[in-house]
Amino acid sequence: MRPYIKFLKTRFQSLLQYRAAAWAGIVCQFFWGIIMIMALEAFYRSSDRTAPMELSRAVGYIWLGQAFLGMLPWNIDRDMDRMVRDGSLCYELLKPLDLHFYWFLRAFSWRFSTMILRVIPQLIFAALILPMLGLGEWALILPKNPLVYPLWVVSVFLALLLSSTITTAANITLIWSVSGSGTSQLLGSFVTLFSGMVVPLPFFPDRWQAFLTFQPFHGLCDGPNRIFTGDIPLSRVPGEWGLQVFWILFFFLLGRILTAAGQKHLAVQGG
Amino acid sequence: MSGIEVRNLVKTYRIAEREKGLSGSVKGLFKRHIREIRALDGISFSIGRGELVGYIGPNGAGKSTTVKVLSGILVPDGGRCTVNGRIPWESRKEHVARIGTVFGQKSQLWWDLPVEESFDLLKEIYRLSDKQYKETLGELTELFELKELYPVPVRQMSLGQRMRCDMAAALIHSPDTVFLDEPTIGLDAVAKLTLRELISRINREKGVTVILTTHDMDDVEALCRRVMLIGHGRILRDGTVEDLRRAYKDGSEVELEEVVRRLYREEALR
Repeated sequence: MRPYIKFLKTRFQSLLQYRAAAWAGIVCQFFWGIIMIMALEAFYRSSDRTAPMELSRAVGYIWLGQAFLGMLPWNIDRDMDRMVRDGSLCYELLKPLDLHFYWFLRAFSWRFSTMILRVIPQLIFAALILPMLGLGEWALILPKNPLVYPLWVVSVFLALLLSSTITTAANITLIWSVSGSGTSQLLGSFVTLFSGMVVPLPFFPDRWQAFLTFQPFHGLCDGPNRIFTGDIPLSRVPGEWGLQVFWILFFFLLGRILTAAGQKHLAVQGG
Repeated sequence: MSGIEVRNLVKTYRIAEREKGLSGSVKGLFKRHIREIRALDGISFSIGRGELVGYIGPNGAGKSTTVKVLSGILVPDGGRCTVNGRIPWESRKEHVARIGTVFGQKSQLWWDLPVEESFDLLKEIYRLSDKQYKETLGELTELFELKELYPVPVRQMSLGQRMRCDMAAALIHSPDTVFLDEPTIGLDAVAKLTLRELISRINREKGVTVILTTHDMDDVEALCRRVMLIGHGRILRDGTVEDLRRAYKDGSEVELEEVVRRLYREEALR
């Protein structure tokens, strides 16, 4: 494991320098969150049907979504894309490492570092600063039951692993497609829609709900967010973890199969 | 078996072609013309342990393809090859742990980090002990004059400095065989001389087998006793630099560059 741990550390060091990008992202997400909440509030006021979720929970859902946005597997690693295009991918193949696991760690460190740079200021803003500004109704309400926190953290960690396995599998498609923009766009639209980033999943029609719960992207954002806000009761948390673990294994295996196939296919072009 | 043995190596690339213009692009959506290019068309040679061999030929001749097959990145379509008894593509992980590779146009160093970090990571990747690592890095640091470069992020280095670091990175695990693919490309005259000196010392002092591909005939004359000229996927000439000169005999003293050019044109006409 030594090489892999050291790789993870080195990659964090390299990624954590994108601080300016993180701050820009945070500011953008504050505004985006507020706009979404204003839209949601209008929708609650104008409708006389009972919403599938209390407003305060929906608000919390949106803030958590914004805070963990950096973790979603919505695109392909730009470094990988560049390596395939300029051929430095051959240096990856020249390392005595398990390629798939190595690439999985590459994805994991990327998702983790983008997330961790944003998440703390975002949560502080949503949970503490907004009430101080007199915007308590728009704030993220912290759970009263202390048990929620550890259970939620586990589910966030699983979401991170799930995101990394999806990212790895998507990155590997570069071997066939050379340019990652197609896969990125396809993946981006599926992930943002089905993880609940556009509209919280409970707001979709009732007959979709079974499908929405069992599809892989639920465990990225919808699941953990609703555990935090209390929309998913604690008794159902182990089931949620189970779903996440199932999809993590699914995409991990898919990635391994793709890597094995890709290595055979791979022809690094060059003069 | 010691050294490098290559027998009848064949590698074909498939290239999708399409006609020019919009209509060509549209047609290309339905029907693609696949053209096959023989990058290696039955190559054979053997290189003894500790040799330093120049591998020359024009762009597209098959140099890099050979290097990629030998280093285990590419699987050939036919033929056999062993590097110190290992079949590169069959035991990739074991093989790449024993070779070093430098591609002159690419870098394996971490762009944003001090170069020392890249070395530290390689130590772990090749599972070197602290003692081994200290020893080899100490040697390389002295040889390549790296001390003052340690804290410098790679993106702030000159090409010559980066190349020295990339060379050191390829040697850190004391490989038995080293592939250098155009290592002097883009370097200024002084940096080239330094690099040549380093290549020659590694070969002499450490007994490392070196295959050097280059377009720079001065590299070849300065470094290699033996040269292989490749063209159209075949080995056209294999011998000493003097042999190569003698092969083109019109009595006059011509530059090696010119000799190679004429030889190449002759072979192409054949």
